[in-house]
This record gives sequence, structure tokens and C-alpha cells, in this order.
Amino acid sequence: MKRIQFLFALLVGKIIMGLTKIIPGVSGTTWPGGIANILMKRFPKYFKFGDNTRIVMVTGTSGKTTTTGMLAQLIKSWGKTICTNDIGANMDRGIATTLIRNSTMGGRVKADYVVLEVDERYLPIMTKLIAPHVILVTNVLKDQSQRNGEPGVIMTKLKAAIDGDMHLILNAHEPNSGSLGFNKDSVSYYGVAGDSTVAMESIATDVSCSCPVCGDSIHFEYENLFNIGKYSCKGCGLKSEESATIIAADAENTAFICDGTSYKVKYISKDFMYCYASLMAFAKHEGIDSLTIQKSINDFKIQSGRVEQMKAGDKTINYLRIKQETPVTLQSAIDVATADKSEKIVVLDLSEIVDFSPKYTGMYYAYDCNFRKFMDGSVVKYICMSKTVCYDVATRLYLEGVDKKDITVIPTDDYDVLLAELEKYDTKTVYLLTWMHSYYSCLASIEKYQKKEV
Amino acid sequence: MMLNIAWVYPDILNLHGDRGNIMALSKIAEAMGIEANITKINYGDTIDFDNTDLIFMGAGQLRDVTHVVKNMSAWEDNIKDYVEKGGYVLAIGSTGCVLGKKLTIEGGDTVDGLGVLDITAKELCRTKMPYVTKEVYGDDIWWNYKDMEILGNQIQRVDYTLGDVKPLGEVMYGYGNNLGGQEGARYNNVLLTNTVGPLLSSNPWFGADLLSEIMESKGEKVSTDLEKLEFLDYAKEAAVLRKKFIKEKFKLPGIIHKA
Repeated sequence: MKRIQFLFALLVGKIIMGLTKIIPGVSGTTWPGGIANILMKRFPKYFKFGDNTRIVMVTGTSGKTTTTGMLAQLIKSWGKTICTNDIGANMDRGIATTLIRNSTMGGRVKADYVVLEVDERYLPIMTKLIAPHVILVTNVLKDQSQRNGEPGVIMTKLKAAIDGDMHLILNAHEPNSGSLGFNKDSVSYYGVAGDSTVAMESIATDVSCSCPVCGDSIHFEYENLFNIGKYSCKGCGLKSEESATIIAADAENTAFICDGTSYKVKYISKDFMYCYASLMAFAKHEGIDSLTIQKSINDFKIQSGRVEQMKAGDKTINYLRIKQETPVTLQSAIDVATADKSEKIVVLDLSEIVDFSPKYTGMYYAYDCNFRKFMDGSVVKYICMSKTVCYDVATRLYLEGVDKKDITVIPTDDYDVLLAELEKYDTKTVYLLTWMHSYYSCLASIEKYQKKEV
Repeated sequence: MMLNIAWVYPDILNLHGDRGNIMALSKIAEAMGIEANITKINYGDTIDFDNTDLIFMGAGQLRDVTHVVKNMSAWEDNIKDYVEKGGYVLAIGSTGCVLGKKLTIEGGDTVDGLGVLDITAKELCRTKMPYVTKEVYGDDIWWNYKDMEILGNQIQRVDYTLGDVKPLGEVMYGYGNNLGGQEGARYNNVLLTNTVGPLLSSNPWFGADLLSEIMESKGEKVSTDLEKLEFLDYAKEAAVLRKKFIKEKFKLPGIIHKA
């Protein structure tokens, strides 16, 4: 009976998948799975996988999509067949849709590897439906407070999800992720080498984070990203796992080095380095050779709209996408912008948070980040824009020591206004730190601006 | 004029950018002609209660409440004595669980707090609107305190029930302690609020009033006039925009608004 119900739900899902191609406005990445899940509870549980199919789940606060993309490319470059989910479709509906798309009418998923990006809240649900061979955790940090509240909520869910017989690949440089390996038999770790000698001089308001085991302060020997780096706990001795696969960035050659081999890369920022490090740990676990790894890195393409360079008149606008309420992404954007030592204008459009109802004006996560890095003298103007939180962002800059005369506030989310404002300055390089939805409105404004210029 | 601030567990009680309160407080004090001397108190450290004018405790994770209570219990008698003698404490968010009597976690387990404040907390498990997920309620908050309007954000993980203490303010919009119209708690000079933002960078007038009270308790008179505070205009403009934004949400079901 269950089999018949499953086949019916699958058939309906496949029909809807076909219809989404001709019906505008209906998402083909979530609707088929959404309907199938309604027709049958625990729908993904009834798919059949080959005896040798390896199932991998990627989860964590940030870096899931990039890591999943890298793993998928690695497996393709290795000559294996793969089933993987669409960008962002990482909850129950999206994953069910992925399985519908990649299965036969009988519900058999034909792939050597199934690599699924899974939202961290949904991981305990997914692992009950599909038993993974490998779970890779990027990091567990402050993220989407309105939805998650605190990292501890997510840790509780992850601990429930990893209570099984699977291999864990964990970030050795992030205390929450690293602590998930306690008392587990099959774990590998990864990290990125840092330099404790170049750490910024600490000031009175610098803070760290709490230990997931004993609650005491975590001390970072070096911090590559927000709350990610080589660490130890003052209280219980929790520390970065020494056996981790560590890669070292080689900025001069746009490469990284792992176990003595150099790998050329396109993206050298530290958040990408952690994705590469997790890739190396995964490749090591699966027994994939270095030539295949290099080929996959060459062929990997980043999702558009995360880091983009756009021209607007004589200005080059470097768009850096952040995820609101998630300090690690804002800090990464600050790190990328400040790595460029040329004279620049920095535009901060943190905006209101509208992901869920009620929408609200939270921008407190900016206080978790280190804005002091901007103070190297190369920023000639800060522009704070957004309809509601622009003055809060200006306050944030002022409290970090930015002179008010260097701050301009424009209370709007209209990029036409921003482009007009930018015309007032001779500086050609602009860094725009903003959230996902603004990318297309920014592009539209630039297109309009360029036409006007012509 | 000198003000000694003990910043308790800054690495742990720092969930929602709480260090911004310390950054803002320093500037507010400076604008009022007060020299703020800030001492970080980490696990194992002791507060010099005789020479402390304000204890600041930011918001922390619920998972850390047990650890924080355990560490603070080493000076439980001292802090109770400090509070009874009129010492000032500013506590944010779920730190009320540490200062309160009891936290009840979903499932029924309880964690005893220090009992400085006669309040109890219950982990949020919302099944009725408004909510995003059952464990947390995040939104803007607007409340009245004395003759001031306080605006900020709230990321609520517990419902607070007040015992023999007064609410700190009246909610004009938002969740407050438990959707019942009360915001925070005050007992003697212990002030608990659910407002993040951070509170003092968004509402420097609240900080000025607090510092004025503290200085007055020390026998020193200071003005709450913040004309020398350079970010005051930003805070005022931010409050106007936030109020406008909040008013657009009045039609949402289940939310308290009296404005």
C-alpha cells in the first residue's frame, strides 16, 4: 500500500515538474516536492538508492551552497554520476524535488553520489528519512536570530541528527562544529592555516564567544573569519583538532597548499579557503587524487550575485553579498573590502529584515563585526543607505571611530539615488556591502544609469 | 567624575552585539563629563563590589545560563548585598534567567537562577501567532520608560513572569515580557530589558538617564542634556524611521500596540 502511495506521489511530482516548465511563476525547485510531501508523509524515505550510492549531506551556518557546489563538481570531475539539489532548495520541499527529478518512475535514484545541501534546522528530519554516509558541517555560528535565536538551538538539532553511523567532516577551527566530534568513531577535521603574529591589536571592547562544552571563553590564537580560527577553551581544554587537514593560502600564486601540493584557485578569500579545506578533507576521505581535485577547482563556477564587479560610469562597484543577522558573512565582506588597499568608497546597505513576518529592523549583528579594519586610511567616504536602518549603521561606524564628516547617510533603498551620490566623488573604486535582494535592483539601476550616460 | 562599570562575562553574554552597549555607554558618559572605567569580568574573576557603580550584563544563550549561574554563584551573597544596598545592574535579554529565580526549559527541566530578581522564565514554545519558529520571537519593540520612548529590537527566547518586582516599562508595540504589555523588570536599581539594538546605541537618552541616576546616588549632579553626544542626531533620526516602520506593522495579528 505504501509503495502504491509513494508511486502515486512521485508521479504527481513528476507531472508538476513538467508543468512548472510551462506555468510562469511556479517554482520548479520546490513545488513538485512540496506537493509530493503533502500526498505522502515522509516521502523521501521511500526512494531507492543503489548499493554503492554514497549519500553526503552538507549543513551549517554559512558556506553550504559553495561547499555543496564544490563537492558536486569534484564528483563530476572524478567521472561519477551525481544527484544534487538546486541552489537554495535545501529544505524538505527542495530536497524532495531533487529526488523526484533524479529518479526513475519507480523511485530509483540513479547516481553514484547524492550530495544534498541541507538546512541545519532540517537535518534531523532528513537524516531520519535518508541515512547519509557522510555529513559535512561548515560551521555553527550566530545566524538568522529571528528564526534560530542562538547557535545553541541549532547545536541541539545537529546533535540529534548525527546520532547514527556516518562519517563526520567537521570544521576544526569553529568550536561548535568541532565539538560535534566528541565520542564519535569516524570523524575528520579541516582548517585553514593562519598567522597569529599579524593579529590586530585588541581593544577594550573586543570579545570572543562561549565554549559549547563548558561555557567559558574561547581564546583564538588566530581568527581567520568571525569566530573561526585556531582556538582553545580556557575552561575545559576544548581546542582545534591537531589531526585536521589544514590548507595554507598562497595569495602570491593565487593558490593554496595542502600536504605539500599546490592547487591553483580563482577565489582566494578566507571563506573560500574554508570551503577548499572541507573539499580536501572530503577528497581524502573518499580517496580522490590531486589531479582530479585540481580539475574540479578549475571547473567550479561560483553562484552569481555573491561577489560581482559592475561598472557604473567611471566607477567600479564591487558588490559583496551578506546574509543579514549573520555576522560571519558581514565580517567576510569587510575582510574582502579591506584587503584591497586602494582608495575606496564603502557603501553599507544592511537594510531591514524581511525574510519572515514580522519584518523588523535588526542590525545589531553589525556590532559583532570588526569595523576597525576599515580604519587603515584607504576609505575616503562611507555611505549608509536603506529606508530604515541607515542611521543605525552610521552610529555603528561612528562608535568604531569613523569621523562623522566621512559618513553620508541616504535614507533610501533606491540605487538610482546611490549612483547620483557617487557622482560627487572622484574615487573610482566602490565596495557595496549589501544583502541578497538588492543585487537585481542594483543591476537595474546601473543599466538605467549606463543608458543615460550614452 | 568617575564611573566604575563591571562588564560581566563579555565573551559569553554577547549574543546580539551587546558590546555595542559598552561602546555607546563610554561615549554617553564622555558627553556627560563622566570618565567611564570599564573592567571586564571573566569566569573566575571577582567583582570589586565596593568600588563598582554599574554591573552590565549583555544577552547570552540559554544553553549558557547554567554555566553563568554556576560561576556567578561564587559571589551570590555579594551581588545580593550590592543590590539591596542600591547598586545598579543593567541586564539584557535572557540574562534575566540568570538573575531571576527559575528558568523552565521545554520538557519541564528547570535551572535555578541567582534569585536577585523575583521573576521566572519559561523557554519559548510558541504554537500561536505571532511566531517564526517555536523557539524564538524576533521583532521590533517600542516601549515607554519614564518620559522616554525606547525603540529597538527583541529576540526573545523566554517568557518572563514578574513576581514582586515592577515592570521596567510599558510596551507600545511588540512582545515585551510575554505579550502582556509589560517590558522588562525593575527591582531597586536592577534594570532588566529585552531590548537589543543595542539598547544604548539606539537610545542614548536611556543611558544618560541611567548614568544621571547613578551619579546622583553617588551625590553628584549631572545633566542628561546630550548636546555634546556626537551620535545623538543619528539616534534621533533612527528612532523616527523605526517608529514609521513599526507603525506599518500595526495591522499584524496578535501583536500588542498601543501607540
